[in-house]
Amino acid sequence: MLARLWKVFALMVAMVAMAPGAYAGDAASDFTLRDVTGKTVSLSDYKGKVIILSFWATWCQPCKEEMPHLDKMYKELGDDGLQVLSVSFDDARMRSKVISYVRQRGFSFPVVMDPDSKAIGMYNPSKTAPWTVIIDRNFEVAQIHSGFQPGDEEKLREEVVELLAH
Amino acid sequence: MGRSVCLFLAGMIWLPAAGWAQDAADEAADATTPETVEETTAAPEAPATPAAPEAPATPEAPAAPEAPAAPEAPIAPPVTTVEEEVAKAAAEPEGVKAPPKEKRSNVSALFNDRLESRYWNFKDPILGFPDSEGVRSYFETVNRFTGYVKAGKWSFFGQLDLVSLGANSYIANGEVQYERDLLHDGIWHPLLLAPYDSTEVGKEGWGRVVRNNYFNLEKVQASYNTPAVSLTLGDSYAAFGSGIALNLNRNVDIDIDTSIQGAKVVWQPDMWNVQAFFGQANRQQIWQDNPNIGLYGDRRHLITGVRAERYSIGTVDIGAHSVLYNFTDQEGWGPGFDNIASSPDAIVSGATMQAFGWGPTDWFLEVDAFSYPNKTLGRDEDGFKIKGNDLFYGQAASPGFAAYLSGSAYLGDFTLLMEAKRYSNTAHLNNLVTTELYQVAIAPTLEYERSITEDSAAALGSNDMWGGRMQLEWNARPQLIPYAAVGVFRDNDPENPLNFSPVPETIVHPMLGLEWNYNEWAVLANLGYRFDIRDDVEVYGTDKQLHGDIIANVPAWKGWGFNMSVAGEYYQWGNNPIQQSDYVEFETAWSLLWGSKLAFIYYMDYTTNPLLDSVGNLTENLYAAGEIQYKPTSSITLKAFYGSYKAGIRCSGGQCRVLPGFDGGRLTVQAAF
Repeated sequence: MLARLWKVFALMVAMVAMAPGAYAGDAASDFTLRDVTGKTVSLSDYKGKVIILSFWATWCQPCKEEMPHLDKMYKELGDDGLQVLSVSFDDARMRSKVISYVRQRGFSFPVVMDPDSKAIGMYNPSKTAPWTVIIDRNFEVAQIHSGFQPGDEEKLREEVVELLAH
Repeated sequence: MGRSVCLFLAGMIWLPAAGWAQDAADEAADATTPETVEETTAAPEAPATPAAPEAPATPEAPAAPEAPAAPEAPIAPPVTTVEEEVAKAAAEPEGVKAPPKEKRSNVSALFNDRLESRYWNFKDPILGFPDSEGVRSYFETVNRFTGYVKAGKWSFFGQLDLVSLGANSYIANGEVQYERDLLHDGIWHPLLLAPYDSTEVGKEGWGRVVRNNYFNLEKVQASYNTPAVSLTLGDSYAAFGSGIALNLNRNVDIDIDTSIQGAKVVWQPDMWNVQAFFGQANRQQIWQDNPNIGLYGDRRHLITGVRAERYSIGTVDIGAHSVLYNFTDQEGWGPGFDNIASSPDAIVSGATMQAFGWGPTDWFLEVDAFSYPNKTLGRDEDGFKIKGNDLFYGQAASPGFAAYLSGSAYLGDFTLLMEAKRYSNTAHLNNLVTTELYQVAIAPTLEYERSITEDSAAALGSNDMWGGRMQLEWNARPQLIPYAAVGVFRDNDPENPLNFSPVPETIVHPMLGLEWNYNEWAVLANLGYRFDIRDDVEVYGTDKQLHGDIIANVPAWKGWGFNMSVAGEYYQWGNNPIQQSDYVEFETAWSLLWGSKLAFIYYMDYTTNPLLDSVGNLTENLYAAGEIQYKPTSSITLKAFYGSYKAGIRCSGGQCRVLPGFDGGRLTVQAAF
């Protein structure tokens, strides 16, 4: 019985293992949301830049660990064409907490809120947090990362630097 | 991408068959006690499993560029400048550059899949058969596939859920017995193309397949988008203001996903956002984390809403909304629409105002009025019309209101957060859907969610509550933010059936905590002591809860790190009509991590809470489990779990769910592609 279950599982693993990377080169989907100050922000506003699209929530501790690294990277590489766009998918009732969290920490990148799951539906329907999508200068999805562990920021930075060069 | 889609489509077809085969094989292999109780041995031939089609021989998919090996994490600033780094990357040989661009297509797609096979271990024997230990154990496989495809101005979204049970039956006294029913009578079954009726479906052969397998096209959406207008047909989500009037969304943290199936239009010219929708509630049928037992059809409540927002009137945004609810207690497509002509059960109308930069402060205010029209529900024995409201269980309804104010003041290194609320007759809105384990609207709770218990959860659903909370945060150093907070609430609704207190109570909840991040170090800690001081305290006493939690990241060596998560509470009850025992609980997780690639996690829980319906695997109160997580690529996660964890209440996004304990094993694959 267990052997059969393992076969079932192994086949499914093989199926998904053959799939990764297939999204690379797909055109990025545009969306328009409001940032924490009420301004309209569209993903397409940043066409031509390398975009880090970062999905997070206030209940997500790894997200809170990742955001200072994104801020640092944005400050370093912003002039070279990097744009960080942070998307909070906190519940509507958390609106005040999101705003104060962002403003208190003084993040230099825009943070938009997505209480209706508009952008989430396009890029992260499983609502994994954190979930990081890298979009290249051609407005095509180049890479997707789920989760964050200390040290991941280095790999992310290398990927961004690589894309900024092209 | 095409190959991936084919493989998954093959998987969709193949998995149920695999489940059938597994079912049959399980029954054959798990024969246990002879004569009286035994696993089914006379399993029918499993249907031939359609094999996944051979993938054509193709070169490796053009994988996203594999980043060169990461250098040691440079804590000190790099010696090269950013410009040099970028220039150096541009000069790298072709092998490490981004893949050459293929011809650009107007079509893009993103797919997600999460597959989990669980082995639920039940040690207890079947009642009356002491030698049947382990017979009740079974397998459950759940797959959730989502796909998003965009073509020009059109986009399409779909979610297909699938569940399959294995080893779910045995033979007792010569008769096949099912240990649990996957499906409730009346649910539309895609394998039958008709409603499921357990009395009509056999217990062996095809009947076994039908009883143990179910799939559901859970969400379907087509959307047309221009910069100013988007029109959505099918499933969509909606939240108005801070969620007091409407909040239907996907809450993966506690496995809740309710959408509105119908039509939604959003018009957003420059400084406006106007949205309107009309549709029926679509609750998810197949659980991803909870055991799938007794799945039933949707009660498609009719919901209509409209909201308009005007941004940047100076530094102020304003909005207004209205939502109509028409509930039904019948399953299926028809009953919801049958209510179109009848007066709604609830009308919630409200307004919001958000102000930025009033001095060093931000403000948000929402007020809502709740109207519950009484309508004719039927006639009594004497033929007189019965006027009442479904949400008041047929009684005459009373109107309600909600007011919520939050503010933030940025005072140098200090930030002061303030919240105040007053809710009256607002929780009635969720009376009917609570039994379906979700809520249509969720008012901000002001409460720290990790401290919510079965009793304090009642405060979330109170129909008469007011209170406030203040939190002072201090930017002591960059990335070091300690805070102190205190919440004070008054709950005047002892009639709430969830509330353990028979009298109104005043809740006082002071807390301390901090958040600290430094390179790869991180600590997040919270400590609180909550008192629920009941009126006539000499008689009814006070509930007291001491709680704390800490999450810490510690870097180790050469990419290895350590993560610790510990949460605990000590709870003392006041005097209840049926007295409960005080209890202690701990939940811990200890992780050894190798970057994001590999994690070894050891879980240990302890609880003496008699309200929890679970038993530990080490002792009655002590639970232990281990898990390995591996990420072969950045978008694929594999997990293997074995052991036990306790049941408990879990809250997220203002909704709470009592999740069952678990004992057994789990294998999980999650991928984006």
